[in-house]
Amino acid sequence: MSLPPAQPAYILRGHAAQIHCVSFMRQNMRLVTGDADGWIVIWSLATKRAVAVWRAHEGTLLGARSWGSDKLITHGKDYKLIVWKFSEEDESGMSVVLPVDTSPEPRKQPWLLHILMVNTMNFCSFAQCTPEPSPEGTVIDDRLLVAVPNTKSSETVDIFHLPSCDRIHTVPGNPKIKCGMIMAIAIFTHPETALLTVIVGYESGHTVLSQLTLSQTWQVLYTSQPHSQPILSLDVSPLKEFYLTSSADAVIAKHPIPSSSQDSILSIQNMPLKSVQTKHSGQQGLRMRDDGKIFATAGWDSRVRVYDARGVKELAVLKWHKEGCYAVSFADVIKTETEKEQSKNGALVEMIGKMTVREERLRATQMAHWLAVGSKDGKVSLWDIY
Amino acid sequence: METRDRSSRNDLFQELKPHCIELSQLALRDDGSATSSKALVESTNKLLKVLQEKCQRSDGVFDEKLADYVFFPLSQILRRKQKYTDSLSELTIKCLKILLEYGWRMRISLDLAKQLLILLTFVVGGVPGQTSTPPLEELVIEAYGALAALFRDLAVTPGGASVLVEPGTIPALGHCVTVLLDGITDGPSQEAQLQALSALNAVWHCVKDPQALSSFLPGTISGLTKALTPRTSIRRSRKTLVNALEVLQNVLVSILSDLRTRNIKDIEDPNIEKNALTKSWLKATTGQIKLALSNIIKLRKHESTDVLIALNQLCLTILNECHDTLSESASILVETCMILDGVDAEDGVLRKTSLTDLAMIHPDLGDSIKGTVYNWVTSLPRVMQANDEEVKQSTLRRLSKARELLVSLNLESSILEDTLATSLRDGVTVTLASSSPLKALQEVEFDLNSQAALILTTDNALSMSFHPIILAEESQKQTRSQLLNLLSNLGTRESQISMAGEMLEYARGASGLSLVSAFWLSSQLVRTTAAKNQELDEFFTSAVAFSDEQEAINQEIFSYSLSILSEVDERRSDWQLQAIALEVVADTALRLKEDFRLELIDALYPVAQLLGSPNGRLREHAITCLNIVSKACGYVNASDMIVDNVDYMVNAISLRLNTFNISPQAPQVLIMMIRLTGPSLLLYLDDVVESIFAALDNFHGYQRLVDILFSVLGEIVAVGSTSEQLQIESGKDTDHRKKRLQGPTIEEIVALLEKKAKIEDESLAHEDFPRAPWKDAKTLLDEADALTEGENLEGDERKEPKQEQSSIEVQKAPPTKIYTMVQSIARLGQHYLTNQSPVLRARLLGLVSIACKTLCNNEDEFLPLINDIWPTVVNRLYDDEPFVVIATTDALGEICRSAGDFMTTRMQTEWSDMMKMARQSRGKAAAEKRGAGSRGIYSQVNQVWEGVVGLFIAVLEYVRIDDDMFDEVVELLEDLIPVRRDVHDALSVVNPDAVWLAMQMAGKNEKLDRPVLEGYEFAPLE
Repeated sequence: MSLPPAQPAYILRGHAAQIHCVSFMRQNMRLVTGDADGWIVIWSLATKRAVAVWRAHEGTLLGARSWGSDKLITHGKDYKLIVWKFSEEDESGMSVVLPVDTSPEPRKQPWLLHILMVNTMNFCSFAQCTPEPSPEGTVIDDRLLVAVPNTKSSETVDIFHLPSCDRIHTVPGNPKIKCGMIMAIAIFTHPETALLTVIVGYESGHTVLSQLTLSQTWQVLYTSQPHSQPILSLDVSPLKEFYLTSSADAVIAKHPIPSSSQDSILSIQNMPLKSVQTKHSGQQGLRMRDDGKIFATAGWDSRVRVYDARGVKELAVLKWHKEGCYAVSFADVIKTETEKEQSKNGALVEMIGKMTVREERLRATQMAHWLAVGSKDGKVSLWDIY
Repeated sequence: METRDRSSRNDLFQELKPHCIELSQLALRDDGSATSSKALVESTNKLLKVLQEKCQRSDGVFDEKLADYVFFPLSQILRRKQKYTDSLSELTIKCLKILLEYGWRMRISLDLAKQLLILLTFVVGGVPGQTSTPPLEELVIEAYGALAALFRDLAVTPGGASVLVEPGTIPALGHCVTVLLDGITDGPSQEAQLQALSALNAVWHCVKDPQALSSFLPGTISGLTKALTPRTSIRRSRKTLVNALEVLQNVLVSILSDLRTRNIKDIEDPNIEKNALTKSWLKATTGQIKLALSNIIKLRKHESTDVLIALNQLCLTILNECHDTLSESASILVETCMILDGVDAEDGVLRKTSLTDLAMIHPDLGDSIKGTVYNWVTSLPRVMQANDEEVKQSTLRRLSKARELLVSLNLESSILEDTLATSLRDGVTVTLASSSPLKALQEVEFDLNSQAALILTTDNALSMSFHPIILAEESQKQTRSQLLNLLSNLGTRESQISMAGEMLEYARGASGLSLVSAFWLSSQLVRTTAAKNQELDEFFTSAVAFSDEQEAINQEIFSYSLSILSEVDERRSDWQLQAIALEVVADTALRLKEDFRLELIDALYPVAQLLGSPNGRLREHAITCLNIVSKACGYVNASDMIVDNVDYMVNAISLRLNTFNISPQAPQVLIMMIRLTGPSLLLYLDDVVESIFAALDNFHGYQRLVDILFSVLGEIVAVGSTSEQLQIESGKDTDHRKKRLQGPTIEEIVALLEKKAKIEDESLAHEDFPRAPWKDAKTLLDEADALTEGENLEGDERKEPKQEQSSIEVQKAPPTKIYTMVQSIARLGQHYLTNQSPVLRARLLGLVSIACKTLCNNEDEFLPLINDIWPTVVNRLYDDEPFVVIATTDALGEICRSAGDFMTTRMQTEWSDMMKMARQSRGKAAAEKRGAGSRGIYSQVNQVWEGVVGLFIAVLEYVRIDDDMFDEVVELLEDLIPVRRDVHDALSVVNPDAVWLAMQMAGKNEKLDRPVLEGYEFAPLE
């Protein structure tokens, strides 16, 4: 109580339009932000400056995430999902003039790898996951599954395979209920059964979890309607134990992830694990930190709320923006395992001793527990908390 | 050989013989008359010449026998003499001296020696019990010389030493020594003193008997001490002092050296009464000697190096030779040696025994060295408090040397180091305390509006070095450098680092001056260690020289400095502290070079904000720091660096403003940034402007803050008006300037008539009657639809964006960020137009007029703004402050120029009040003009009137007004129509005839010739 209100560590200025997506990439070295005009800005977290600026889409950006350390996927309202080649070497030569400072010269774009023509009915962003590892156990980095709402039917999900760009699945909705449009998607392979699982949040406030059975058919394992308003965002816990949904109403719900149909009660409606009335309606951009301890939401009331993931208890309210916030993102929590290993060898001291000041600073940036918030005012605030 | 010696002796004898005979005869015949004494003098002189020429040799030719021979006549003369004051005696003594020096060099007859001793003593000192006139100086000198020679002769003559201490001779010898000592202390000249000294020295060399020596010792010591004690009345020459010191050294060593005193200690036999050299004697003596030495060592402040070297030598010798005997005096001697350490550094060829060597031999010296250092260290704060800079310097110099000594002796101790740290801190603290009243004087009231922060924009003051903070005065320069020297020699690098760390730790818990001094010392230590590290780097690879602790302390002190600089509360932060922090920042930048660019995120703003500090020295420091940092980071200059990193500064300011953590410097720095960077910065300032608005809401009672915040807004408006974004956007140029109605010219009429004639000429061309029915509107529309559908055939998906795009095109582009910013500032400003500060009111009005000029291009946005601000602006026309009124007339004029006819109705409602005010103003101006001592056009009322006239010109030129109103203006300005071209023109645009009439009424029109036309009579024009 006695603590003064938290202050952001830095404000990244430069977007001319509201910011729709923020995400960290390359082990917290870069922050990707995308705005309503289709501009993408890649920020260096060490210098807090833009390293690359280009207009990725003609319309509003719905999502932007990295794919590995050298690829970036952007999803725009111009019906396109684009995979850009964006490795560290590609940064040089990119324009760093920020969107707010419209410069006449054409901006260079990074190398284009794939374009998928997809649906952008609403503000539902794509979801991505790597397909289950091949039997040999080697993770092949150049494969990716991308889930987006279906072009024709508003209740079904298309799953595309990259790099082939083929549509490999179409996940039907729960036929028993009327759900409306898809608002949010998550896709992952179940850790126990290794089955591909898709979670969808609907306009009606329903959320449906479906799994691809071994017979290559989709089976609904879980359906629930904790919200009276459209679901705005959902995120799955890092260990795939549960997932959280937020909506335009004030409820945040925590749902189980059944591993197979035996677990699920085959009724039309399941109950969520927990449903919390936060009294703050319009929380979107729900993101969980990769250690699964906390999650945060961006509020239309211009506040960012940080919750304890286990008990869904409000931990902090971050207020800086004067307009509504749309997106949050946590930096990866990098474990200091590498350090421990090295100290075993006794080489740690030497390593730190040899680190230059610059390296040390970069390291500090990388280790910081950043929370990035994108707002309607075109600014991104960085908070160093928890 | 033998024969040659013999023959040369013979020759010499032959030469001496006539003179001796002559002199002898003369002496015998002497009757005291003038002639005889004159002859005697001449003869003696001749003898002396011969002696000087021939006998000053030591090859044995001039032996004691010849000397005896020559002495005979001389003894005649001396015997007859009662007093030895004339030139004859002088010559005689001179001769005697040569005899003693050469003739009796190897041997002297003991009886003769005794006699001579008495005689020479009498010559100088006179006969005891008789008062005599003091002898001539030259005589005295010769006599001393002769005595010295005599003792030397005796020393070599067998039995010579013992004859002197025979009971019969002892009194004479005693007298002689007394005379010599008198000569040393009170000798008439330097030469005399020197001779006396050498004679005394000779006595001590000659006399071997410790008994006798010990009896002379007290007198000798006290005499020498007297000679060596610096006194204001008598200034002794360097040479005397050096010699005296040497003699003293001999004296002490000869009797009190450990070798001699060892026996005393061994023989513990009280029965031997005769032997005065008992232990108790020794004890008493050493006490006395300590006293004497403590007087003598005052010479260590002597300015001459020779003396210092001699003193050092004395001390060292005593410490060495009389180590046990005079152990009581050891501490003062050690101290002296330490002070004098290094005086003989010049003659490094001859490696002498040094204190270091001695301390290695005698471990107990080490303890006294330590004790001395400890004393010095503890007395440091007291010394620093005093006003004597020289003492401070020498103390500090001593301490540095002492440190070296301790290091070379391996005597460092942690206690000593801690004490030193504490003392240094206290020392610096008292220095600060003594200089603080000066600081109070310096702090004058500082005008927040002064543009001190703008120095960078204009003046490229390239100071690259800091003015010192501690011991800043010119007179303290030496002291400062000594202090720094001491710090840099403070032990090993590790101990320096740890001391710096401790200081920093102390600083965290301290407050006030001790905080400043601890922080300063810490920063200095870090600096020296860093420098040392660099030196090491040149020899080793970085892995070896690089030290973790070093890096850690660097980091620690840097972050501490930043926390100091970021401290906003001025009352809590000391300027000296901040200045030191600035130095640390600069040092860090120098060390990190380009890598420091990353640190600028946090460091740049705290440094730059000090440019707005009320303290002049701090401002200077900040500028220097910025210069250094910019050079280190590879920028051309400081403003370049600020422009390049302006985003960091914006962030810092914004975060501070957001928490209402407003220091008065922030706005100043902001102004500087805006001016340096130009309009492109404004794009990033939207939230800052919002914060300023919020701050204005919250702090509207704080006049100065409001003032300065508005100066920021004014700067934003001024810079924004130059922005390209605004200029590009101005699609159409709105010009509200009224044009004079042009009557049709003859040519135009002709053209019109011709055209008409043409049309009448031409008949309609032939046209077929229509064969198909005309299309109706519906089919036309269908056709158009089909066309667009054809375009859209590509797909449904494409349709949507197309429509979106077209709808965007129709929609008017929203105003740019800068436009909205300037607009909102202008809108906000109106609420402060009633502010109590007239300066602010005037500034706001200026802001309004600039904003109008900038914003008028976008009428959709601009006219509502004018509607909003108009009432408050126009009310300022009736302000009490004349200069506010002038600013108002300017602003209103600008509004009229940019808004044009939009103002018509507003003018109408305001008209009557405006006219009233204008008439009053005219009246005042006229009254001022009539009054005595008028200041003409520079008077305030006149300037107000000028402003009013300007306003009406603007109204006339840009705003449509009623005829009634126009008439009133003509009436108001009628006096000016003939004299002011601009007034005349402005009025003529609206109604030239009215102007003509007014001119005519004033009789200023050119006289019109009455036209003459036959058959007509024109009425005269009145």
